[in-house]
Amino acid sequence: MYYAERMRRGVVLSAAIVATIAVIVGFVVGIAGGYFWGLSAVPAPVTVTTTKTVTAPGAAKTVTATSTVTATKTVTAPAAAPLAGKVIKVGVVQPLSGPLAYFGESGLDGVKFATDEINAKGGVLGAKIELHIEDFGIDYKAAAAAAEKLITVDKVNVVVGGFASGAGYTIEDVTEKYHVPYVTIGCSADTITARGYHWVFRTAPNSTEYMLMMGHVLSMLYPKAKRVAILAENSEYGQASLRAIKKLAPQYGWTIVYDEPYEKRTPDFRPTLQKVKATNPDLIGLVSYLTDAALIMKQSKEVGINVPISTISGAGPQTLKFIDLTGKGAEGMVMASEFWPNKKWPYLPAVMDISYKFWDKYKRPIDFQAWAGIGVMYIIKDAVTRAKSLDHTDLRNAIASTNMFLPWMGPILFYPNGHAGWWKYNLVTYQIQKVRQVDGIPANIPWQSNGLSFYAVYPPKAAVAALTTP
Amino acid sequence: MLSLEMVLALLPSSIVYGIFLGGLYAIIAVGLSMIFGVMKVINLAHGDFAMLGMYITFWLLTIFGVPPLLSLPVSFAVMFAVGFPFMWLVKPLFKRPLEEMINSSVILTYGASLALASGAQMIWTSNFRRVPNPYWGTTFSIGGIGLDMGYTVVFMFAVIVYLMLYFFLIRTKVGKAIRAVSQDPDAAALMGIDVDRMHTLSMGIGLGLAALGGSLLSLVYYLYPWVGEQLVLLMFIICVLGGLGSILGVFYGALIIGLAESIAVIFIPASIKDVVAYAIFLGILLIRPQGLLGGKM
Amino acid sequence: MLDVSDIDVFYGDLQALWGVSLKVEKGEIVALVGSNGAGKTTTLRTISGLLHPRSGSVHFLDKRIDGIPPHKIVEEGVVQVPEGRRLFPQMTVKENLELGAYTKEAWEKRFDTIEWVYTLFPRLKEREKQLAGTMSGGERQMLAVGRALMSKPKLLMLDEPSLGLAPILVMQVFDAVKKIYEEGVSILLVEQNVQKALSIADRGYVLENGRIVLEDIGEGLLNNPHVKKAYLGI
Repeated sequence: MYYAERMRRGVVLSAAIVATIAVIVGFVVGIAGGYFWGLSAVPAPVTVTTTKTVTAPGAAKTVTATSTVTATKTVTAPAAAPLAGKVIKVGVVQPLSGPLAYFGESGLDGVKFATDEINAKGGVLGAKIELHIEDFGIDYKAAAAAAEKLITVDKVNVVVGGFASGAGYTIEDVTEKYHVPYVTIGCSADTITARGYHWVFRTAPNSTEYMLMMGHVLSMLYPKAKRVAILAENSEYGQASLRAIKKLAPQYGWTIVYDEPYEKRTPDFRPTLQKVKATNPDLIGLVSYLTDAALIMKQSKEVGINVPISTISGAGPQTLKFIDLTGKGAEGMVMASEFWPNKKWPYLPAVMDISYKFWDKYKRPIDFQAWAGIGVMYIIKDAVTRAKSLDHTDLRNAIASTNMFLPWMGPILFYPNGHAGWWKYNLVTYQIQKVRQVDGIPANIPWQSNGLSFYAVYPPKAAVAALTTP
Repeated sequence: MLSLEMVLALLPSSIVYGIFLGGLYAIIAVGLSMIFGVMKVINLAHGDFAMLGMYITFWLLTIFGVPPLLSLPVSFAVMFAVGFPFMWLVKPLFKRPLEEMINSSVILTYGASLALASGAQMIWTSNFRRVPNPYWGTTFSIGGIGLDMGYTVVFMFAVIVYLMLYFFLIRTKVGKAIRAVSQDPDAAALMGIDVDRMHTLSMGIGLGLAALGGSLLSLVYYLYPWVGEQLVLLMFIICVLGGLGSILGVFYGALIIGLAESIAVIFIPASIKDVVAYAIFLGILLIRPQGLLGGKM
Repeated sequence: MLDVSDIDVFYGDLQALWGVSLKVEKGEIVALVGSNGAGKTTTLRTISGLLHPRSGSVHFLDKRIDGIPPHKIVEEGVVQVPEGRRLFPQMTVKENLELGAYTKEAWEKRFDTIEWVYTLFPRLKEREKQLAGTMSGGERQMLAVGRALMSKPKLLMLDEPSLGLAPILVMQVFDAVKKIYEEGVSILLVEQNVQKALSIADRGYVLENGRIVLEDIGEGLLNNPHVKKAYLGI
């Protein structure tokens, strides 16, 4: 044949080599592009004055507010640096490429932010934190492989990360096998901490807790809603949430009229939405991540749905991006979340201070993932401080007995099964409202889009605005 | 299970949505089929070229204020030009025996796909973005069927571009030459057709169409660096279903998949609607292994 | 006109032609005969530029054409009707013919040329709109020859035009070849039907195992004892 004849054996390049070159070229171009892109993004100067030394006002009795204070003291007293010269190796397993990268990076930025802060103050008992970062894309098996590599090759002291509950599952299997403590970033499926594992600690609320909060708020907001349709994505997160919703629905007098899962990241939800509409619901609850939620909001208008739509479990869409993508139509939506800057629990100036610092550094708000990234690093710092050891077992025991207070977050402690007690302490419901000056929160906050932002509306201890019926 | 009455009420709009979705799928997938038809290269990076088209539209709008529809020819032209260096990357494969070449092309283009997506993530970050356009979320209704302006515009342009492509291949001298090369490259060379040039040209057109499809998609969908990965499997199914290499087949394949996805949702949960698409795919391939219009361009 | 001089051709590491030389003068029919696998097709593919000789040269009208791509060689006026017709099966008869006139010069004259081809093969005009893949063997061969003629070649190379055809069709094909020759086109004919080929050829070459073993006028070869024994079964 024509082409076969033209073949010169020995000169034929292996396709794999060409592919590798292509990858390298892609990266070089990418890095250059990213560099120039970065240059153009000049940080806007934002100054906020807050008091640095904070004793948490109104903190619950059970909580000791000493950890932050202790930490600062150890830095100033070099004598108390039993780990001087050592390195705390933290393995981070996050989705940093693929469709979940947006969330994965948010969490990673949180981890980096806290790490920089801690290292800048001399580390923990003299030991610096060193990050070993692994990306699993959307392949949960790759998350397990990454955890395995971090433990066996990099010899990390603790593993953090996950984001998706599906990844949390595979990672906790590995950390359980090697007896290495694992602190999740995200991973809200109830079952993550219901498998009898001893080495996993979850910093996110679980599906039931989200649902308890949202059920409460939604029945305040739509007291007449009886028929509720649930659109839950076909994932561990979606289905765990759906189970929690179905279990708790009777408590709010709801009948679930639609509960078929949907396939993630479909460009066209209209056929599904039509079917939902045909069930004649009073309220539609979403268990979705960002783009799906935004697209469902938009396309529901097209098929003529005019009953309220709300996220009902989990904080998947609780990012600035959601308002970006949905536009004005997002106003009035409520969602429960661990963190967003506009809340006054536990101490507003501390919340604003860290939020502005984070924004200045990463040009993104502290959302439910970024908070967890920061949180896990402070949990680790606290645990190392108390354990005075980097041994896996010592660390695990120290994390299990965590009892700390972050002035911008609230109390953090773990149940015996490794789940943090969220519902009771720190979970807040936010509503998307017009940006304006409220007590202690200026109108020029950078974490806004289309003139909208999330404002804490429930519980009262955190609320900075009133819950309004859209 | 819904009542018959309900099914009948839902059916008309589901069919319309399915056809619109099919038109969109077709325009994104057709370049893939063309590249395979002419060169026997399976381009796994095809979805990523569509992704680049989306970002071209995004950039033209956000930096220069170019209306999204005007960016269609630009994204076609830019990716058409990219076809030349991409061809240079693919060309060494042609020296191999056909089967080995097809396999190698999968590996090569998969590498290119990863490189493009990673590069895009570095340039544009992993952010989800939207191309603001007047059609987004604008709706109107015909005969009780709620229609989205975005999808309607996309469908119209998809059909126009498709007709243009069809006319080009059937009527023009170069189009005929491209078809000749796809049917028998050696015989085409003996007719005085510059096969290498036709290859490059088809690669350019194929990638250009991918980008153009991406630009259209950006009117109704979000863009992020890894959207190509999401698209390519579907494209591939559509192309194989219609008959790899067949231009008209892709259109039918896309319509079938679009309709199947839309209508199936009436009867089954949306999470398994893809199963219906795959089942139809397998069913048709069992009866016609070469695809609906396999072997015809 | 065509001067193939001492070419060695390889498939990979396998040598197919050994020092083959042949000539076609203007206004000649030259037959290249030999058994299956002797290297006849390889010779034609090399002249057409689909293969490149490792050594030796090919000249056409005093211009060296080995090493230039096939489509350029067509532009020079050398056209091959490949073995097995190699039509474009999913295209109509007319489209096939049009593609034959792909080179720039031929394209401008394609309407006149197509009429000429239709007068040579009236059958093709009747089948104008039919897909090439659906035609009978004889019609396909007509189309393959017609398609090659569309480029207005100076030298037409036919590779096994009678292969797989019924005797009556073979007659028709050879009649057509003669007609084309009378129109002033030089012809290089490759055939397994040695008797037929040599009887219409001015000169002939016998190719065995990649080497030219005999060269003579057509009649001379027909009477050659070796040819008689090996190819004519007499």
